[in-house]
This record gives sequence, C-alpha cells and structure tokens, in this order.
Amino acid sequence: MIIVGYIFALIGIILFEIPTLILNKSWWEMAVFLGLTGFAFLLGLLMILQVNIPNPVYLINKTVEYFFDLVPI
Amino acid sequence: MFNYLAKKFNLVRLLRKQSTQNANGKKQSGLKISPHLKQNLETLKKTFKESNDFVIREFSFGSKEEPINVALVYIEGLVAKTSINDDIMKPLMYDSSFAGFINTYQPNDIIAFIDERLLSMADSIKVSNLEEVVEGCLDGHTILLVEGETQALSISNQGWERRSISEPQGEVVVRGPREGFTETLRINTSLLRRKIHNPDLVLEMLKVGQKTRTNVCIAYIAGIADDGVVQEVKNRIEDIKTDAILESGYIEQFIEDAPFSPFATIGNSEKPDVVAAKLLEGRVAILVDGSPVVLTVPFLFIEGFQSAEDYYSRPYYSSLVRILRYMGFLFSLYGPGFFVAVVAFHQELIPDALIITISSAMEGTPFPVALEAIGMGIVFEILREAGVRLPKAVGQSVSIVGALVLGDAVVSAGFVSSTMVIVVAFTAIASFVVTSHSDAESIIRFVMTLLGSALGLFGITIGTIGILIHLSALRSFGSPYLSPLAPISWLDLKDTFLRFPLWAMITRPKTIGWNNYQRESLDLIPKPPQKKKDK
Amino acid sequence: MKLEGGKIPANQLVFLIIGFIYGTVVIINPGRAAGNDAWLAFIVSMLVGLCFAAIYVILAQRFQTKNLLEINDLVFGPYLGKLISLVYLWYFFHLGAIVLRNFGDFLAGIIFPETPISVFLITMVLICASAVRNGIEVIGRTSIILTIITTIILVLTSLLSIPLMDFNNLLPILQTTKLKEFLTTVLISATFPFGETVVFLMIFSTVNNPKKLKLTTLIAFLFGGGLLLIQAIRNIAVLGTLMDIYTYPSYTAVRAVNIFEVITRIEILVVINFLTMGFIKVTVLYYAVSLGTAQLLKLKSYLPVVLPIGILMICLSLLQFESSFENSYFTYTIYPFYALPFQIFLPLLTLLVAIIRGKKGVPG
Repeated sequence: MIIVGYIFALIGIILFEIPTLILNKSWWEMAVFLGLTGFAFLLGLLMILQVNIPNPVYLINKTVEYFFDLVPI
Repeated sequence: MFNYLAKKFNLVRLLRKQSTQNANGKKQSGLKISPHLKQNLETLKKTFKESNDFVIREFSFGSKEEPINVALVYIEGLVAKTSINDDIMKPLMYDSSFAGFINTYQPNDIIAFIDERLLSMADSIKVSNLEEVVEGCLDGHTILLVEGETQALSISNQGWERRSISEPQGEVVVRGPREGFTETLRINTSLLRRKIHNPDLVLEMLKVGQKTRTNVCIAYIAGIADDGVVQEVKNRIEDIKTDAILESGYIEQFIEDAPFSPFATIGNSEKPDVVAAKLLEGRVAILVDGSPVVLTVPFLFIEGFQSAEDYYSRPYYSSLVRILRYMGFLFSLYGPGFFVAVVAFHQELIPDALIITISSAMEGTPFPVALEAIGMGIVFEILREAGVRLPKAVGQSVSIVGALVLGDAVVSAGFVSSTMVIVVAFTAIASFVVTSHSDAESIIRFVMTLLGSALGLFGITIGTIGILIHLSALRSFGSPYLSPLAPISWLDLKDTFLRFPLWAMITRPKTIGWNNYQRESLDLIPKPPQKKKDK
Repeated sequence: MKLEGGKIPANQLVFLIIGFIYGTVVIINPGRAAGNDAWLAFIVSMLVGLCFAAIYVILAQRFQTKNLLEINDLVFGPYLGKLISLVYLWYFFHLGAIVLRNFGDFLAGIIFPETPISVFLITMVLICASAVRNGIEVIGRTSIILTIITTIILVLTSLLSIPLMDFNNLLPILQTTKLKEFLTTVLISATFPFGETVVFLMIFSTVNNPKKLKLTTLIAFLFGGGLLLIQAIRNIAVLGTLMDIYTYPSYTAVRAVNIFEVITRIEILVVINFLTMGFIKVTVLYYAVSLGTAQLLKLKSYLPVVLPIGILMICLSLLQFESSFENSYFTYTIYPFYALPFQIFLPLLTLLVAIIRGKKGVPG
C-alpha cells in the first residue's frame, strides 16, 4: 500500500519536472534529475522495505568518540 | 492520450487556418471614399448588411440649378435626433439659403465650408476612409457625405439612453461622495477629470476586441505614475486578440500577472474618488466602455483592507476599523479550520468551562466535525449565492429562511452542533468585512478546514506558510504583492495596519509612485495660531 | 550564467538570519548542561558566534558577488575546491536532515502521538521545496513576516508567563555549574545556532549591498541572540533547576501559563513558533544544498534537483537516528565537534589561503 503511494508520488514528481526540461532541451539537467531521483527512490524503497542501510551518523559518532578518547577533556 | 493530443493538434491547425483566412478578409477593407455619393452609400449599405437601424438620409441644398447632394449616415438610437434636426440639417437646408452664400463657395472645398461656416456642432472631424465612416457610425457619430467629395465629416453627437450617475451598490459609504461610475466611458472620464483638475491627468484611448471594438481608456497622472508600468499596461492591453470585451473583468483576466492564483492582482472600484486617490498614488487606471467597474494597477495585498472612508474620517477610528478588518480577514480564513483542528486534535486548548459547553453541544451529532464544517461552509456559500442573484425582496427572505429557520432547525434536529453553527455564521459575517479578497478567502477557508481536520494546527501552520510563500512570490505589474510588509518598507507602514493622520502621510507608496515621492509639505500638522508677543 | 538571479535587500537578510538562528532553538535547549547559567552561556556563545560570523563576512566581502562554492573554486583551484565544496554540501544537507528530524521527533512524540513521523517530514519538505523553487527573494520576503510573528509570539508568551517566574532562579551566577560544564555549553550553543550561519556564505552573494553585510550580520546576531536570551531567561525563571530534565523546556515552561483560567495551555504558540522558524532554517539549508548541487554539476537551473534532494533529506533524517534519544545524544555530545570543522576550520583555512595566495573577488 505504502509502496503504491510511493510510486505514484515518484511518477508525480517526474511528470512535474520533465515537461519543462524537455521544452528547454536541457538534457544534462534531465540526466542529473533522473539520476538523483532514481537514487532517492531506491533509498526510499529500501527504507520502506526495512532493509538495513549503513547509517552515516554511526560513522560520525565513532569518529568523534575516537577523538574524545584521544584527547581526554 | 494520443487521441487527445491528435485532437489538440487538429485544433491548433484549424485555428491557424482560420487566422490566415481572417487576415485575407481584412485586406479588402480600407477603401477610400469615392466622389460618387451613390456608390459610397451602396458600399455602406452592403457593409451594414441592410440592418434596419442603419439610417441614410439623402437631401440637397443650395440653388436649384446646382444643388449640392449630401447624405447623412447614422445609426438610429446612438445619436441625438434633435441635434441632427437643429444643428446639422437646419443650418444646411435653411440658413444656407440666406445671404447668398451659394455664390461664395469654391466647388472643391464644400466640406471645409460646411464645417467652418455652417455646422453649429462643437465636435467634427474630417475622414477620408470608408472604414473610418463605419467606425464613426458605430461609435455614435453622424457622418455627412457630400457628392463629389473624397472626404466626409464625422460629427460627434452621440446621444443614447444611459443610466444616470448613482451610488454604487457594492461600495456604500457613510461619509464621502456618493457618485459612482456608469456604463458610459465619456461620463466616467469626465468624473475623473472633475476630481483631478490637472492637465497631467492623461487619458489614452485604445480599441480592444476584434468584434466588439470596445473603447478602453488608460488613465494615469504623468510625472507620478511609473512610465514602465504605463507602457506595460498598454502593451498587455494591445496584445489582447479576442472577439469581445464586454466588461472590465475581461480585460482583467487577460492582463493579470497571476492567472492561477486565487488572489486578485488587479484592483477595481466603482467610485471616482477611490480611483482618483489611486491615480494620485501613482497607479494606472483602466476604464472600459460599458462597465462601471474601473480597474487599477498595480494592486497590492493591503489595498484590500483600505477603504475610501478610512481617509475621510479621523485617524483613530479609521485605524481601529482597519485593525478590525485584518482580524475579520484572519477569522474568516481560519475560523472553521481552527475550530476543527482544536476539537479534533487539541482539546486541551479549550478552557475547562468552555469544553463542557462545546462537548455537550457536540454530543449526539452524527457527523465528524470536519464534515460538519465543510458541509456548513457549502450551505453558507449556496445561501449567499441565492441571496445575491435574486431580486432584493426575495433575496432578503431567502437569507432569513436560510439563516434563521434552517440554522435553527438544523441544530434542534441534532444534525449539526450549535457551536458549529456559531462558528460558521460568524465566519460568514467576517468574510464580508474584506470584500476584495472574498473569493480567495472562501477557497482558502475550505483548504484550511481540510488541513485542520487532517493535521491539526500543524496543517494550518503549514498551510499558512504555503499561502505566505505564494503571496510573496506574486507580483502585480512589477510591484511585490505583499509590498509594504515583505519586502518591508518602514515608510509605507503608515498606511497599512494603522492609518496615520493625513498630515503625516508625506510620501507616496514606495513601490508605486516613488519617482515623485513627496505628496505634501512637511509641516502640515495643525497648530494653534501663534500669538504675537508684542501685544 | 547565474543560477540565482534574485537579489535580496540587506534588511531581509537580517530577518533571514534571525529566523535561522532562532530556528530549532525554540524547542531544543543547547544550554542544557549549564543549568541556570545557560543565559550567561548564551551571551558568551553569542560573542563567540560573532567571531565566527566575522570570518564569514570578511570572506564574503573579500569575494563580493561570489558564493561559497565559487570562493572554494577560486581559492583551492577547481579540483580541491570541488572536493571542499562537496564536504560543505554534505554538512548543509546533513544539518537540514537533523533539523527535519528534530521537527518530526517533537511533533510525532509530543503533539501528535498517533501520527507517523514521516507525515510531518514529507509535509515540511514539500512546503520548503515550494519556497526553495521560488528562489531567494521569496524566501527572504516570507522570512520577514514569519520572523515578526515569531518575535511577537515569543514576547507575548514571555509576558504571560511573568506570574510564574521566579527571578531568583537565575541566581547564583556561576556557582552551581563547574567551569567545564559552562564551557561545554558555550561550545554547544556557539556551534548549534550561531555557527550554523556558515550556510549564509551561499546567500551573502545575493545581497544587494555587500558593504552593509557587517552591520546586517551584527544586528541579526544581536537580535537573534536577544530572542534566545529572552527565551532562556523565561525558561530558567519558570522552571528553575528542573529545566535540564525536560527535553523541550520552552514547551513545558509555557504550558504552565494560566491567566484567570481563561488563557491556558498556550504551548501551541511555541509549536507554531517552532514550525515557522524551523521552516526558515530548513528552507535556507535546503536552498543552499540545491543551489550548491546545481552549481557543482554545472546545471542551468537548480529547480530539477530540488525535489530529489528533498526525498534524500527525508530518507537521511529518518535513517540517521533510531530514536529521539539517539538524536539528543548526537545533538548534545557529538554534534559540536562534528560541526566545528565546517563552521570554523574550513572557513578560516579558506580565508588564510585566500590571503596567502592573494585571491580576491572581482566586483561585478
């Protein structure tokens, strides 16, 4: 159910952006748009399906904590 | 989908074909007036397709041996008959026989002779084109054609039935002039002239509408109005290629900046004093023949909250009224939405004493509160529409039946809670406070109700931010729509939430009339007369 | 070709910065560790923040009409510059996601316990996207009205809570907190609202009159800091030592207001403040990321990347914390040290390299 709504939202976004891009013949913009949207869509889909995605914040936490240990305040 | 596209493509092709045809047809006109009177009259008759209000009156005057054959051409009902009788025909047929004038004229300038010596009409011009003749007739001129001449006289003696100047129904004032614009363009321009006795008031005529050829007048004050805005208005009006302009609303919809916005970006008024005040602030007015509603641009959001009477009465009360107007506007936007949001999501916001009343009123009503609000909103809009369109006597009874009987019955039957009726009724009254934004108001009210019922106050805040974004993105003829508020200009706040005293409104609005910004001298504040010390 | 054609007057920048500074601080209290000395910590951190801002303004004025990415390109050369720009963009993007998450956590946790958090994130991103697509002019104009409304609400709620206040709570000064805690608070609140103004390096270049930048920023910082101060004093005076145990002290403080049993439970006003100010903050960050991405990829317009970046932002803000506890751990412990490089080291480095290499923006 959520996935269907999600796909509809995606189609909505694409229909919203593509016509102006085609009219202006900006193909590079279109490629970037489709690439970014595709990536975002994939990420969102994986999150809806509850697949484990590496969390960048853990990395940040670990790094900063490493420095904490290095420099005892 | 493809079918639809194909159809659309066909339509475009069809339109293109039509427009080339029209262009071909246009070229045939532009005939010169021929020296043969009969031929001219035949052409004119053909042009008017033998319509029975098109009148040709042929007669001759002068000596019996060399009579001068002339013809008067006019459209019945558009001209003043008495003036034709007394001021055109009588001088020609009767006065000319005196004083042996017949011997003095030269055969090649009869027209000039008639124009200069005989005709006792103030306004006449020479035309040399049949197209101009036709146009003159349609404007209500009387055309005098003379045998043997390639020119004709277009005499302006319009006289049709017109509504007299009366108080506009839509903008009633307690204090201030009562006169309003009428349907006749000339009268309207004269009303403006009578307010502004200054040659700087420029009135420029344009003809718009390929079929109706409606006269449109652009009025502005040279030196105050921004030249760019005037040029922009002219360009946009000239670009209108349409059949008909029947009301100034047609022009409005063709030239407005934001056709998809619920907010109007062009102001209108039926009162000459209001339009004159706007002209004096540097705005441009557009008067359309056949419409008592005059458009003014640029139109800012806050203009909807200003009323002519604010400036006529003293500042304290005007400021109070203006603040009340803002409150009424806000209430009519948020009333039902806020109520629904509070009842559905944030009951804790209601004071304890009130919640018992509200919940006891709510008890037993079958519908969810959001549905109640939207339903009652629709009922109200229907009642209003019915009341407006019906004749006055019936309209009043409709509103009485609607408001009193229906409202009471709905509550006592337990369909709708009485609190909801109170909220909707008050919202309805509040929405009449600011009339220029009333159509946007009712749309936004429904949206807010939906948002409030779905997401509570979060939804309403988000909706408000959305409206703000939309409003700040709007422009009206180059001026930011939210102008004195955002982009903020401190000087113009004098006339926004409070109405400062007239002697303190030294400058014109910054985004509109800034190229001639000083409106009055600095020391106009009334002071008691200074007593001389040496007495 | 310029991606952003709009220009904002300096006075709009003031409101924009005020809104940005006041942003999430409406709800989240960066001065938690300092207890009742938080108000003092705010004053100190505002001064520290002003030092940060001085670097940004000097940088912006040195390179007149260039924005952050163009400055990077100029100073570090095209390749290293791009890399540094990317790092900045990540920070803006992540910060946007954090602010969004704070939103979601607050709304879904306190106000609407039954609604999933993603509803709020999506709505918020949609409305921000519409603002971003309209360009900086519209963002600036919107910020004026929202900031004024917010200021009025803050003053109003503060006045209404005067009966609850006990100003003795502000005392004793610097007795209960240790110096270390105090300094930590200064660091947190210097990086949390004030240092984040580094994002305005993307916006300074669109200001009409670059000469006014110094004064503008100073006024904005003083005013924004003033708002924080009013709020901190209100919260401390109302809640006293209890303040540090609440996650959302403003909300709790205003909640207690009760004037004659008529004006009660006005905490919804705080929520409205949070929404409007958070909107400004997210929008500014979102705008910077969109513009920066388009600039980095040499697009002709930044409009096509707005919506995809919005989706990514929602994804990241959902992904980054499992719960609101992780969020507050990150905000109070990790974030100041994570943000420092972006807020101070990189701009300072840019400035130094620019001075050493003698790079300057050509006016016009």
